[in-house]
Amino acid sequence: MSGFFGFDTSLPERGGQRGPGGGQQHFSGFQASNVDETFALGGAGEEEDLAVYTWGEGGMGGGGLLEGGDELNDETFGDDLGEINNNFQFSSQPATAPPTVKGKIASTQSRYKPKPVSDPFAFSEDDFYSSRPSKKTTTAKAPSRPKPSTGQSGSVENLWNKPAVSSPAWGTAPSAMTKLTPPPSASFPSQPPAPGHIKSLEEIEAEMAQMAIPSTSTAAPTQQKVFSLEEIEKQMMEQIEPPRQATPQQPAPPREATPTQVPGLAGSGYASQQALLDSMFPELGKGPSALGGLAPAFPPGPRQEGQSQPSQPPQPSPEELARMEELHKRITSKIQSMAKYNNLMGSSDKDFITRIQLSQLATADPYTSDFYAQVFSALKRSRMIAEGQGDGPTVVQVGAGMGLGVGGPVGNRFGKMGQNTMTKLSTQVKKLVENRAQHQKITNTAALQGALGRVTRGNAAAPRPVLAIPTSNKPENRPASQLNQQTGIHRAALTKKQVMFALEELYDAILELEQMRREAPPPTAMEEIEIWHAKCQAKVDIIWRRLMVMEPLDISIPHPFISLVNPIKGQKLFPRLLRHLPHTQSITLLSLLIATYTQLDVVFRAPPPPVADASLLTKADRLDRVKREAETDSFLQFVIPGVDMIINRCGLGLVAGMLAISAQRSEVWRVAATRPGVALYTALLSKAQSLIRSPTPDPMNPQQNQQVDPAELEQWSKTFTYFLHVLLPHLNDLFPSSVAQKAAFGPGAYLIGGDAVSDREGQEMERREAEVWGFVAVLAVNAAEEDQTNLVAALREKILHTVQSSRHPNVSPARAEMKLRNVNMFLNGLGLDASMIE
Amino acid sequence: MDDAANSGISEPLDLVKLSLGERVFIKLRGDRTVTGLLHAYDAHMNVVLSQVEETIHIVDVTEDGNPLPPRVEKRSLEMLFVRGDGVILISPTQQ
Amino acid sequence: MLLIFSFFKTLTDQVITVELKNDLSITGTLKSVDQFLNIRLDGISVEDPERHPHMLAVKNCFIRGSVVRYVRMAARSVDTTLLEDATRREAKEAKK
Repeated sequence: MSGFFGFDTSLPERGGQRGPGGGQQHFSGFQASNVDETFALGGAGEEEDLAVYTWGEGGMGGGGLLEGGDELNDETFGDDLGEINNNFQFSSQPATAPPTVKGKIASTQSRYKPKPVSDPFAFSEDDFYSSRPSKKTTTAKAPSRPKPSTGQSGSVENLWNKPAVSSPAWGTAPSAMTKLTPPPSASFPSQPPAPGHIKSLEEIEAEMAQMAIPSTSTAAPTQQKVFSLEEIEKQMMEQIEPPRQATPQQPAPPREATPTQVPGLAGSGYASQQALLDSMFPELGKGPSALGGLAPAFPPGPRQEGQSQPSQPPQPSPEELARMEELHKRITSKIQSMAKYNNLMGSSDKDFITRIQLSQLATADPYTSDFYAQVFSALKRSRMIAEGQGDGPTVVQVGAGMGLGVGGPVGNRFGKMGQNTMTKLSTQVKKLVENRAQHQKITNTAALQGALGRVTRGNAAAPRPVLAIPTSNKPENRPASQLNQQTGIHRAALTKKQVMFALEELYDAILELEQMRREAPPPTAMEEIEIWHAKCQAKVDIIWRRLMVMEPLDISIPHPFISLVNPIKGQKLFPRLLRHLPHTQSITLLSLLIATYTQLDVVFRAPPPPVADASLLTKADRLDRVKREAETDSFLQFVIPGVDMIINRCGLGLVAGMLAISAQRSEVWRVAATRPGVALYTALLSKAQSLIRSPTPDPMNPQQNQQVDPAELEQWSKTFTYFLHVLLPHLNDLFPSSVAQKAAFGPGAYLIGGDAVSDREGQEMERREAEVWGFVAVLAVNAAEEDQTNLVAALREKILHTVQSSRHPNVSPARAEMKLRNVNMFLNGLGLDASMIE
Repeated sequence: MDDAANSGISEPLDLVKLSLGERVFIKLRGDRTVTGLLHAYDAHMNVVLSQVEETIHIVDVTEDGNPLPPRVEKRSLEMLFVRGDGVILISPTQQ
Repeated sequence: MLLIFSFFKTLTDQVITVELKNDLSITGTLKSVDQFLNIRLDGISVEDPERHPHMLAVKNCFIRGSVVRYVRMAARSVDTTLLEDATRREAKEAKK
């Protein structure tokens, strides 16, 4: 549509066109219709003078029209004059009817503007071809020719919605006209339709026929039969006229109608019309260039005649001139009737549209519409800068408070490792172990060596750890609700949909907050900064409420907050949340998390131990494992770093308190049998130990530079002792390899326990084991002397097996080294080394 | 609470938003379905998915025109943009 | 409304595979994309060239956005967290 006249009808150009005409506002309501545009150009400009000239001038004067690639405009405009005339003739306005009615009609050849005749078909073309009475005519007409009656029914919306209908009309106009060329000398007993009357197809045809009557037969109102559809089509196909105004339509906006070459068929719509047009006017393409875009140079009238009807010398008779005047009057009246649409769009509306259009091209705020690309490239740059540092972190911290994850390494059977934090934790542990090893080398070695030594000899029965903690049997998949004693009010846990909804709200709030933080006012503007702080704080409060951390602990199982952290989506949110929460709130949050740790999917539904042969699993089982592994990995990747960060800001009292909460509210050996549990306890224990060992002030937290409070130390050692004793009987079950071996059955048992699994999976297994070895190592460094002995006793089989298997010829050197390193992490904490074991 | 969740959902795309970052099931034209983690969508239902599994249901026809039992082809793709005009429905996967 | 456009911009100079609705799959380096998601590819190769011999000589091409079914790309060239954020932002913009 927009390309109908060979120029773009987008606003700027339109402005240009309208400018010369002077009637800019008149037809703004009709933007969708080029027909109206045409009117606007001609009619609006000159209210009294002949439209013909207006067209020419408009074309010449309007800079917009002559703009590049618009050669066709001139031709179009020249011809438009005729179209206008005919349009009016066909309109059902009583006032416009006279010429038609009078039947003073030139033959097609001699008529000044034969073409317009076809215009009526413009709207009803579909119906025309399918020869059914057209109702479309009514609605379709409205937009382009506002009649008093239909003009209203054809509201602006209609116009917008119907562009495709009206534009093809112009294209097909010539064809319709062509059919009529054989001057059927007949006039029609036609009456001007009553105002507001909507013409039927027959009426339109009749009118057309009338117009086609040669001027000679003016008065004779022959009862010429209206052309039947078939006749018209036949003529149409036979007679090919040089393209007159057939405006070369530009490729329509993506519309996927297949051009139908058979006009009589259903081929309605733009494409088929276009096809028809093409078939009838093969020279069409040349037309425009022949005109050379210099149309303005030619007086439009003559040129039209000469071109469109080369075979028939144009003879504008006085009658025609009179008719022209008549026409012009009608044009004027039409314009006036259309004027009621003036100013339908205020300048602000136009601005609005212009803005929309421009926004497609340029974006003032790249963060609004091009957020992804902008930030992505910023990230990429910062990553490239950081490139030199070898393994980049899996989580890139970006700019002002924006944490943006980049994809971590793709996992294997075990999924991603969340190695970052675990590496960090184990480094922490290693440091503690080394520290401890130096202290204890002399004091303890003998006793411990004895403990191990006995075992090495394999003769003496190991002293069974005697611990008072009654161990319940371990029901598989025990529901989380049984892991906690419940009190107080309850309600149902959040549904998945509620969780998702709450998370999306949180994300939105976080995004807004992050945006706010980015938009910090300059540090000099004190007042603004205060306002800004207040706004941010308000947002943080909202986020805090939405986190539902303050809901009663036992309000539901799982706790609403846990429900939020369970999906991966919630886990990803966690570090971004923490960044904005004040210290006290994050402590509260962590306490809640620890208290309800067993409700976490990653703990309660921790991935089952690996099996040697995955083909033994059902597909659903496999998918479930994958999902659980993924959740665990994501938890280690997104949540644990935050947990560790909070813990690192705590004093010993708090750490002891948190461990106590955990020991009190959950069966720690069950929690510790999961990777998130191991990570949590490792973080707590190593923090405690480093506080005890080196009370040197933490640079991050200068408030803690006082010596460790003896009361806190006392509380800690009590808590820890209790914790250790609960755990001791289960220590072996913490190791994934032991669990796997227990769970294995059939031939798999030999595979998984033995070291026959593939080296890659074996190494993965060792990495998993390392997490647990790190944990028991930090248990060791925290433990009092007698407990250290218990610890070694509890683990001796594991230690021995690991050391021996590391010497097994089937074990790859890499894996063997990992095994030794794992064991040594623990042994070193006791002042021992694997090399001491035979 | 369910009411609250529902009241915040005023248009269909709001529902799709709830699945951002989650695994979704998408039915496409041409007897195709895909599941994957939803990372982006727009009003045209253009979507970007990761960890995609595509399933194509194919009914082969013998030479005499009798349909063979339907067979299924599967592909895994790590990252995929799906153009919206092929999308029939998007739903969260039930898990 | 430009989220996906923005997304594709970040893939320029990456190798992607465009799968068309007629099952033709074209792999090449993304040179440019526009808001209609029309795509220009350089250095292309066609999956299953025997079925599409006419593509053998073609070294680069312009693909109309509407004929695309899928575009496949490497996971590492997409920042999914950022992309989700961008989607949320856009969803919010659209509501205003």
